[in-house]
Parts: sequence; C-alpha cells; structure tokens
Amino acid sequence: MGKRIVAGVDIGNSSTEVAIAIIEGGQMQFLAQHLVKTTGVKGTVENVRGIRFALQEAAGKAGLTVSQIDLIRLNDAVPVIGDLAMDLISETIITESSMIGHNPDSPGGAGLGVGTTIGIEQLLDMDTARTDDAYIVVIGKGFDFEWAAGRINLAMSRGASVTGAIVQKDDGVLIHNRLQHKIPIVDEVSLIEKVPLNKKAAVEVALPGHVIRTLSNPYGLSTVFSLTPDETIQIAPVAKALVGNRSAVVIRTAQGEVVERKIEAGRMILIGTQNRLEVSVNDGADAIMDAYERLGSVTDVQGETGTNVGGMLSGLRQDLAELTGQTPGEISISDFLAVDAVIPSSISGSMAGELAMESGVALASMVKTDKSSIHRVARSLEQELGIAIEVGGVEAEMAIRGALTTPGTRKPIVILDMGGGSTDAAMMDASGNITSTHLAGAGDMVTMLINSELALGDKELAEKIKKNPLGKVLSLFHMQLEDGTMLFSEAPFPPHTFGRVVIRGEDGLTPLPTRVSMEKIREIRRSAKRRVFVTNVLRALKRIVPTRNVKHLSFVVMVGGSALDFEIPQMVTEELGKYGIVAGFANIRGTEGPRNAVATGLVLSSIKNGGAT
Amino acid sequence: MSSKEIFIPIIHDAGAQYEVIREISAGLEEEGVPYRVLQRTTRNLGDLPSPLQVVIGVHDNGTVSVSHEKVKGTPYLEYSWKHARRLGKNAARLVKGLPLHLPERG
Repeated sequence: MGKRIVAGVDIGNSSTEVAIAIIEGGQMQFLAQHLVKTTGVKGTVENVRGIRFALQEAAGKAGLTVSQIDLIRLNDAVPVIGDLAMDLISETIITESSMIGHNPDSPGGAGLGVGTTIGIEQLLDMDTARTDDAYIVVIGKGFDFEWAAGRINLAMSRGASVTGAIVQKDDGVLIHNRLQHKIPIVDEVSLIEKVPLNKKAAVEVALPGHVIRTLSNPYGLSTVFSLTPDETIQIAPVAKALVGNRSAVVIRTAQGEVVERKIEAGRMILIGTQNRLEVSVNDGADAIMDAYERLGSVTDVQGETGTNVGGMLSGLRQDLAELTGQTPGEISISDFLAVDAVIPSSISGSMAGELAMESGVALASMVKTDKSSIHRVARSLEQELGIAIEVGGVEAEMAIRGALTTPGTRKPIVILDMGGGSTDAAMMDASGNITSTHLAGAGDMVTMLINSELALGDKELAEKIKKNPLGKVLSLFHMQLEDGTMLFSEAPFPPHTFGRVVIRGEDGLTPLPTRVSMEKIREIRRSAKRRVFVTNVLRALKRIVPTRNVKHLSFVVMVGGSALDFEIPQMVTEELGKYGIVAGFANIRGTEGPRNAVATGLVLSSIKNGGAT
Repeated sequence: MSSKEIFIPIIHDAGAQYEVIREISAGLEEEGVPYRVLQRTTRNLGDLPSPLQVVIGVHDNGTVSVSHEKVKGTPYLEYSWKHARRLGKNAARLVKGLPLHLPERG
C-alpha cells in the first residue's frame, strides 16, 4: 500500500474546516488544517466554493496542490437548521403627550420649572399682556446664546416670569451663565420643532451626579399638572421612563393622555408525542422552558394566532421553509430555546430619539431537514475537483474521534459542540456506543441578544463585542481594562477612542457608539452567554446521560467555535464543576485547541475503515 | 501666566477672526473649563507650558488646533475654523476625560 493523502472536510453552520493528512503504511501524519466561513446554508451546493478555497489554503500550507489529494471525506452534516426571532411581550404606547427624558452632557442650571411653552421670539410680546403666567422658553438653533440670554433677562426685568428653557443647540450652560435669575435649561433637544407651544410644561435639571426627582415620580407629575387620580394612573409610564435621568421635559397637551397598552403576547403551544402543553409567553422564558421540560420532547411548537408569539413563530417557520426548501406547513420544530431579553423600542412622543427598553422573549428554534442534501454537495464537489469524495460517518462520532486526540482524555467521554447555530452534545460509552443530541441556540443567539440589549442595530459590532474584552480609554496614555487593571500605551490613543469604551480586538480598538458603561456592557455580554450556553449545556447533558442525571458524568470536552470564546468555556467549567464534572475545552491533536475536531475525526476514521480500497 | 491658575490658553495669530475665538471660548465655557486668550506666534504650541497641558491654537491658515504637552509633533486635534465651537468643546473634554465629539468627515 503506497502513500495516500486524505482530507477531512467539516461543513458547519458558520465555518468550514479542513484537515489534511498523509497515510503511509498504516502510519498517519497530519500536515495542515484550515478554516473558512461557510458559504451559503450548510448542506447546500453553495458550500462547494468555501470548501474548495479551504482545501487550496490547507494544501498550500502542506506544500501540496489540491490535485495531489487522493480522497476527500465529508461529514454527514446533521440535517438540522436553526433560526432566531425575538419580540416584545409588552409594549408601552404613549399617545398625545410629549416628554423628553433626555440626558445631554451639559444642561444648564438646576431645579424644577413649570410654565407655558413659548417661542423665544414671542417672549417680549406676551409678558406685558399676561404677567401672571410663568413661561418655559423654547429656543431653536437659529438663535445665538447671547441674544437668547439677553432676551430672557429683558423679559424678566419687565416682570415676566420665566421658569425654564428648552434649547436645541448645546448652549444650556452658556445661556445659564448669562442670566440674572437662574433657571433650569435642557439643551441638545434635536427635534425641537415637535415641542408644542402654548402648552403647560415642566423642565427639571438635577445637579451633576444626581438624578431628577419630581418628573420621575408619578405624584410629582400629578402635583405639577394638577392631575386627578385617574389621570395619575395614566401618566405613570412617563414617570417610569424618566427614572435615572439627569434632566427631563414633560409637556402636557390639551387632550393629553397616556395609555399603556399591553399587546397580547399570546400563548405557545408545545406539542409532544403524547400530549400538548400551553404556556403564556408573558410568564417569561423560565416558565416556557419549565413547560418544555415537563413535556420531555417536542414534535412541534405553535403560537396562538393574532398575537406576538404567533407572529414570531410563523416568521420562524417561513424562514426555515426558505432555508430548507420545504413548505411552511411541512416544517415541524424539533427543538427550541426561549431566553428572556430586553428589546429597545422607540418612545412615541420623545423629542431626541430616546429609546425605552421593554421586556421580551428571544426564541431559537430548529428543524430537521431533508437528509440527502450532503450527497448533492459531495457530487458537485466531485465533479468540480475530480477527486474521490466519501461521505463518512455520523458527525457526532467524528467529533468524538477528533476530541479523543486531546491529551488526557479517554472513553467514556462526552463532547459539547458549541457552534454558531446549535449546541450539540454526544456521549461515547466505554464500549464505543454513541448517543447524541442537537439543541437550538448558540453563538448567533448570543450575538442577537447583545445587539438588542445594547440597542446597537449593528450585528457585526455585536459579534465583535461578543468575541473581545473591553477597555475604557481614560487619558491619552492609559486605558482601564474590564478587570479593573490599567494598561499604559506609549503612543497616545487616537481622538476617536478618547474617553470611550472600546472593544479590544485583534485589529485594534473599536470605539462603541453607546454611552452605556463598560461594566454594564460586560454584564450584558456575560449574561447573554450564560443565558444561552449554560442553559443549553445543562439541557444537552440531561438528554444524553442515560440516567438523566448530569452528576453521573465525569469527563466533558468542549469543541466548536464557541469553545474558543474567551469566557464561555470558563462559564461552563464553573457551572459543571457544581456537579463534580471535569470540563474543559479540547486540544485536538494536542495542537489545534477546540477547533478541527470533526475534520480530524474524518481523517482518522479513514484508516480505521480500512482506508485504501 | 501664574502657575497657580488653571486655564487653557487660546493662542491666536494676528489674522484670527474674532468670531472664531468667540466660538472656541463658547465651547470651553459650555463644558465649564476656564480659558485665556493670548496673541503670539502659534508655532510649536506643544512646547508652550499650560496648566492643563493643553493649548489651543487659532492659525492664520484657517485651522484651529489642540496641542497636548505630552504629544510631540503634530497637534492632537486639528479642524477648520468652521468647527471652532466643537474644537473648544473637545479641548475641554480632553481635559475632563470625556469622549470627543468629532466633526463628520469633510
């Protein structure tokens, strides 16, 4: 038997990995490996482009050309595809009333002012006519601060009572410094044209480092606007939305009323093999997952039509149908993970684009698909490269074979494959029998949660936050890291990072556009990872342990992209430590870390299968 | 310059417009950082002693700059006159350690 060159190719949801080895006289030596982003949806012919590129790169590293490869072994990609959705479980709608819960960097003055809104240009016309009224002056960006301050001083000297100001430009302190009688001023109100004139309004500014107390208190609002108990109940959401601000404006319009409308979140119907359970989405993710656990396994999940969850599940069904080429009716959800989430929604009536954070639920779900798709990929690849292709082995078995090359492991072994789209677990007992499970929810869901909870609207940025630690640039030369230590830099930090929370990635520093503190971002990042991975790891392990008791496991090895994460493996290790399990991430072939397990397993199994034919 | 006083010097060339200096001052005042306006050469501003290590320059060539004692060579920030208010604000924010408001490109 001569020498043969074998390549293993693992097509995952997010990445495609290749390993190349030379087999000579029953001896195997790994030459190279490579990883690329999966092109197209896993299991479709579009994958071929990525595979070919990965093969070229790996062959190049080994000093070979692709045509020298004798055999390519593809994983029998597990035919499950996942998708994500999230929606509000309640929504606050504020109508016919305007408020600005606004935190400019430098508002002017301090205190509470109540009065009728009036444009600065009308101020002198009005005061002589009705000297009893108090005014809140509205100053658009066309007016200079010195002129505006002079005008207010003049009006006050003629006996008018001006109790506060709303300013479009960043002029709050400048105007305040020029006033003879000090008033609270809220500035940087970008949508000032939305401020209605001749309406009763209140302006409140707190001292630096303090928060407003009157407008964030429902009874404070009822005092200011002389509200009845019924009206106070209606305006309570406004107070709630203003909690924690340093400054705010509340304007009451004539028909002003505030309505908190709860959109029916709906019920989820979990269909099992024997029975079905209904659970209200309003009860939150824990209640949904409890119901799932009581049911054991699902054959499908449905949402009450005409509700939020109904829309969410039919959207998922639609997406999955498109991905798999089936009709929405054929799709049956084989697993799902529900996670509590915070979802930003814009406040109607806001005047500087503020967002309110509302509670919601995020769902990851998974369907089984047409199993033969991998053979189409194999045929297409074979035609293109002219190299023999073999679809080898079950993915779980390949992953375990690869994982067993980690120094210090032996059967029985459990692997956790934490990828982008799904969390998979497989167990090989002492005699080599394998059980495996595939669960919805993994790295992509973490990204979705981070994106939503920081209101980024930028998936790539959320992905970066997920993968890298943070820092805060405190001065030209030093940065605080998220563990509290300080980093000194010999070169000054560039202006676009100064004073900001930054992502410390391999390609340098990326400043974040949000004002959220480093501690809070870190907390959201870690909590998203915990909510998805710790939950799913426990779920996965319970399913594969014959006794259904996680405590009966001893060795757990993590593989897959998310096992490369700088904190997910530690979280899992810590959690499983509570059950007395030794858990850690793999080191495939002693060199590759948690990557390349399946590709390595595919190559290894070629020799055990007899290899050459 | 008494060393006990705390302020940011605004150094301007003879040809600097009053309006530009006023806008820079407004930016500093809004952020609550004191300043003092002085006319003298605006070359090598980074070498000039400043109680807050930051010196603002208003140059004849239509630019405004912020130099920092510890950053040698080119100014740390440099904008055209039309961003004078923002430059004053950013000089103050540099002293206070707050994120800068950079002008959009162009």
